[in-house]
Amino acid sequence: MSPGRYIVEVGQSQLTKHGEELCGDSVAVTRTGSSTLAVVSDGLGSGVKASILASVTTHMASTMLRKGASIDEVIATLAETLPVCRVRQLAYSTFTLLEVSQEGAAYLAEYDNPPAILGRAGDRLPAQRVERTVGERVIREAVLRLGDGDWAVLITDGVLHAGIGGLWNLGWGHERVDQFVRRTQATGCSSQELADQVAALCRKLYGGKPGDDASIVCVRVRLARKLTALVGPPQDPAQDRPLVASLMAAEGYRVVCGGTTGNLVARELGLPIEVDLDSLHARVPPLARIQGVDLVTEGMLTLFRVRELLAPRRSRSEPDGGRDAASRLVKLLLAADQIRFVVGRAINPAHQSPDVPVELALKSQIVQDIARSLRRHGKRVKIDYR
Amino acid sequence: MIAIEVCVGSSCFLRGAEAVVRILQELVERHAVKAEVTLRGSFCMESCTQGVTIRVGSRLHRGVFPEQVPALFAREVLAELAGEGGEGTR
Repeated sequence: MSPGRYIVEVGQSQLTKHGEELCGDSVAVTRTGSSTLAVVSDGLGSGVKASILASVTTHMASTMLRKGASIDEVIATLAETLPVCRVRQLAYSTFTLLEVSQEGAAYLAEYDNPPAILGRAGDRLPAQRVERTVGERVIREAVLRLGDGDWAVLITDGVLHAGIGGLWNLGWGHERVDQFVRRTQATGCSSQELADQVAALCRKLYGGKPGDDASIVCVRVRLARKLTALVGPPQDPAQDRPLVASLMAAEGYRVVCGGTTGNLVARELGLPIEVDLDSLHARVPPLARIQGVDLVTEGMLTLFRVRELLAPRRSRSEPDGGRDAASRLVKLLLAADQIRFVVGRAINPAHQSPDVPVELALKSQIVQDIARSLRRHGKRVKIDYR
Repeated sequence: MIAIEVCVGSSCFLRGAEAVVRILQELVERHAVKAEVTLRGSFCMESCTQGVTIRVGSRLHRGVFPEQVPALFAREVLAELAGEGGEGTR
């Protein structure tokens, strides 16, 4: 159960060549308990043939490396396995692969793809690439030691060619992509946001009609981000003080859900609670501010909305830049890696409901549903009852 | 200066606190009394079973419906302001 030092955050985005239904690049990201492996491949040509070449490459490489094969064996096997294109009499696909352990040890291998862009908190990451011939192929390898904030962006050549003959005579080009990635990275965006931004600009440079398949995989190593959320007051009022103390002692983001709970936290801290009426929304009560707490929201209605926003049928690309309390809470939850909900079992006397057990069951059900969605996003979630 | 506090906790919110806030914001705007009136939210005024609760100055009003807000505003805020300064606040 004890995790390694680092979280390996991966984001990916792809463009499909205009007029094709399938992307001729393939990306495979696999995680085991101890490491994360990302493989990007560009298959010869475009459309279905390219797609098959590329996905055979990424899946074979991932599976073989996972099972302990060496990169040499992967390359030899690929050479013998890839189907030969009838038109070109060639079986060809490129690859870039990056494996990162939870302790930050990384192995990079590149074959015929543009070199991965590497960075260390706004700076360049020193990487010694060594060229080596395996069979008939020349690969470049590097062994890296990554730390908090270090990152790598793997791309296919469709990214470099964006805007060719149009905005840029020779396409976007490695140097400009490199600069854009570094600039965007410095804004503190997530790996997924970075991948999406690179893809969006790439599409724009292609005038909305990509002339080639393009793939972007962003990998970032960072320390785990924690979040603690109090949901409802504890059953025993004597627990108010220790509960608030434990919230304030917790590392990472601090969240309070529930009006009564918000008032309780403010009271225990001796601080004012200020409701922000600007965040008023037709369906979600506004958020409030207490110094030292990252987000204070109302309880049930907000959590209902959070559950909706996290429901799996919503696609990732759907915009949720909402300023209401539920959207803010979703954003914080998705930014965290390790989440702890502390659900209070107190009955709200104000509700004076004859269905008290129903109310409690409902609250715990909603929190459990939210936890399940968050686990699907790769979060570690714990629920405690007080 | 008059402070108006509207409860926007779960119960009041479900019973129309959002509309009450919007109407109050509009009234403050329309009567140009932004400098004299502070509009604030609260998470719970401990009258959850009695409908939307608002506090004007030190007076608590429970069970407020959105359609009652203009009359309440005229009575509790505008009249008060007119009596208070005697000039220039209408």
